[in-house]
Amino acid sequence: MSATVLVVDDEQDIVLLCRIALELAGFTVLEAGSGEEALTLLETACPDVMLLDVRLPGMDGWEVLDRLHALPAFEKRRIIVFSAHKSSAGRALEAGCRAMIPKPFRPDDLVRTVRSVVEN
Amino acid sequence: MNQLERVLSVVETCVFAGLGLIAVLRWVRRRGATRGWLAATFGALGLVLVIAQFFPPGSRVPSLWVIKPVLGLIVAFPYFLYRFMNSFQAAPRWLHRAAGGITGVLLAGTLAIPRLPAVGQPQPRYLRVFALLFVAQWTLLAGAVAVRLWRAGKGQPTLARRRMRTLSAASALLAFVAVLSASVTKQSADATVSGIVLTVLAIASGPLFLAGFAPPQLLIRAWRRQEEQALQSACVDLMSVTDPREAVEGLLPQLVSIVAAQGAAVYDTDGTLLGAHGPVPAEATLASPAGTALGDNFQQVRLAFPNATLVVWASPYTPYFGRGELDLLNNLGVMASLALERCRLFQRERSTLEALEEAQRIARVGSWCWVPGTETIEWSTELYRIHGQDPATFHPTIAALQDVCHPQDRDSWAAGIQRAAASRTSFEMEYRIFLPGGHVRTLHGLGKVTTGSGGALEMIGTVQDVTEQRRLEAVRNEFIANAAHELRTPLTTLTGMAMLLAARRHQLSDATLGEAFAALGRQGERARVLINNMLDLSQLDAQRIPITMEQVPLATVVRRAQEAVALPVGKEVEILVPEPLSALADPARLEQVITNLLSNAYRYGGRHVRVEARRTGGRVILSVTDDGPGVPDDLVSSMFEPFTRGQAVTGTVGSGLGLAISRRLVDAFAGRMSYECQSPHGARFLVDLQEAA
Repeated sequence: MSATVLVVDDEQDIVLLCRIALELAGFTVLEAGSGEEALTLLETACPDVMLLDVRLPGMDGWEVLDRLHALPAFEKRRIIVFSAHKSSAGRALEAGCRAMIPKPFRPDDLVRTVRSVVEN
Repeated sequence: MNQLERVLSVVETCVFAGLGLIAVLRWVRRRGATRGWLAATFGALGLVLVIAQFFPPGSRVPSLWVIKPVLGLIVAFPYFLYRFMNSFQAAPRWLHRAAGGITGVLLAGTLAIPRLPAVGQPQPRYLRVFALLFVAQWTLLAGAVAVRLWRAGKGQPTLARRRMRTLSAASALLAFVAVLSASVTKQSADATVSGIVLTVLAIASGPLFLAGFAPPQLLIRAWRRQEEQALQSACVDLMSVTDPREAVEGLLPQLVSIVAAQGAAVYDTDGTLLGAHGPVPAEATLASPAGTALGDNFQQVRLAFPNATLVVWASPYTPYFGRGELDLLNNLGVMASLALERCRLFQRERSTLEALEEAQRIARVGSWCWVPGTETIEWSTELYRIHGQDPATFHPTIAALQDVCHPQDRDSWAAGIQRAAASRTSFEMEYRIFLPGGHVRTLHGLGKVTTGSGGALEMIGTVQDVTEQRRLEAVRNEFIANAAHELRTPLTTLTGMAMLLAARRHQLSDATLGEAFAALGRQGERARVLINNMLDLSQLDAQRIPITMEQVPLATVVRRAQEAVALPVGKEVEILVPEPLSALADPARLEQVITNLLSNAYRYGGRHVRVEARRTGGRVILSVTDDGPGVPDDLVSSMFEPFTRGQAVTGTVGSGLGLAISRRLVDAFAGRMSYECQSPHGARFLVDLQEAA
């Protein structure tokens, strides 16, 4: 059974790119366009990895991370954050995230990072 | 009695011989018509008296050849005195003729006298006539001299006036004595008494004459006290003036009063008038001071100094009677010359300082100077302005500067100063300060340590207000960061999709391929719009976008904008723009503004959008209104700044530059763009333009 990846980004085309790249690598992909949508989805689904954009309209990525404390079903260490700023890497790791993918990224880097998180 | 007469006669002779000698010596030394006539006057009188000493009463009667020249000299005396007087100012013609005529007749008479009666003999008739004419001549001439000198003394400086009036009194006295002498007969005992009295009176006129034409220093000093005081106060005033005009204006009235001149003027070295007092003709120049305009009653006196020339219109009596005053004037002139030079240096220094201050104000650079160990730091005016401090109340010291320094920069600032002082090197620092109102300013300081006069350590430096530069740098950096951020999504999508398509397109379904190509198109377009907008914005900020102002029919331009932006499904737009309404703008750029406002309304607004235009007092107000949620409160203050972007309700996100560009374009049309929050909800953007006639 293939691993499931939840992609959270308000940019539809980024989500599309992630979906195509991850599906080609054999992952199942779930999509959310906002933090609220992601949290709603997590109430029912249990993805193996979550790709989370930090800059989201309304509830931003950091707030989503805080809310996830209340959801024992999902481990924070399975989260990878997208961030424009490399400076966010430290904060992401502090918040218990596993890795950070800086934008812009290459599809193979994305797949490699997701795979390494899934395998560990 | 005879003994007394004899003594008095010797005294009288000595007095007038002395006067004659002094007058002749003065003439020999200084020459001039006035002194010449005076020398003749008293020389003649002295000579008569000296000759008389050789023929004491009771001795043999001198021969006619001795008596005739003596008589001639006696007749000449009042005429010489009159000519002395006349050398200042010509007498009326009748007086001049009368003086010449009567003196001529008397001289002729003197020559014609055949013989003199012996003692005890009755006087022949011709002698009585001669005596009568003699009395008339003396009365007329000495009287005229006395009256004219007395009257001319009016308005003269104290010393000159007293000299003139003393001379006047002496002339009157001598005339009185002469007239009486001629009329007293010498037979009675009374005659001896009156002879003594007359001799005493004649002797008394001697010191008066002396005081008049050669006053002793003691008398000069006493009579001139008032003018000397005026001179002193003028000198004191001169020491405190800093402006040449002020110096001249303060000086001239004093100067005029010291010599009792009619007027005075001061000219620069190049001949321009620095100032004048009294009725000095306005067109008077140094080359042609037009003194004649003041009439013949005044004489022009010029005094040249190293950097100024003084011209005084004095009375004709001044060169003779006011010689001392002219010396005072000369002293005052030298002082004034020094004061003028001081004023000139002061003004040059002041104008240099003003130029420096102006340069500092333009460059917004202040300067300072400090001797380490002393308390006060010297600041330029601009430095006070940069700090927002009042020079009257703020005293710059190290402690005071630490107080106004931003807490985060305080330690590094103080350490920088100390380090520079210790190592004697030049230094550079940037720090923030608080203005009295609480605003923060960023300052950039440069300085160096020098050895000042006396070998003491001295620090000097400049401080530039770089607040605006730093703000603009921050804006530019933020703009670059934002632009880079905005390009991340298009770049990620474009490169990522291209790589996937290049390597794995055979593994993708047609539907996915379609989605991928659509995404490529969308993000490519987004990057294109973003870059175009960024170029527009930078050109607008550099004022490099060509704006062609013309009469733009609003209905047409709104229609074109409406056609350019596709109406999203479920939205309605209402256009209320009267057909004849026109505004002054660049038509293509105004269309760009309306297109931006319409697409914003479709993207962020509610279901209904309304475009309206109305005329109000020479202005045209175009508005785009929607019934959406309105601009979020936290974005209202920054919505016209680049990269401020709300959350789109429908469609793609914008570049975040549209409103920034629109606002700058409307500014370029000399219009105004503003936002109004709608009740209960919604947004309205207003474009206020000048109506085209």
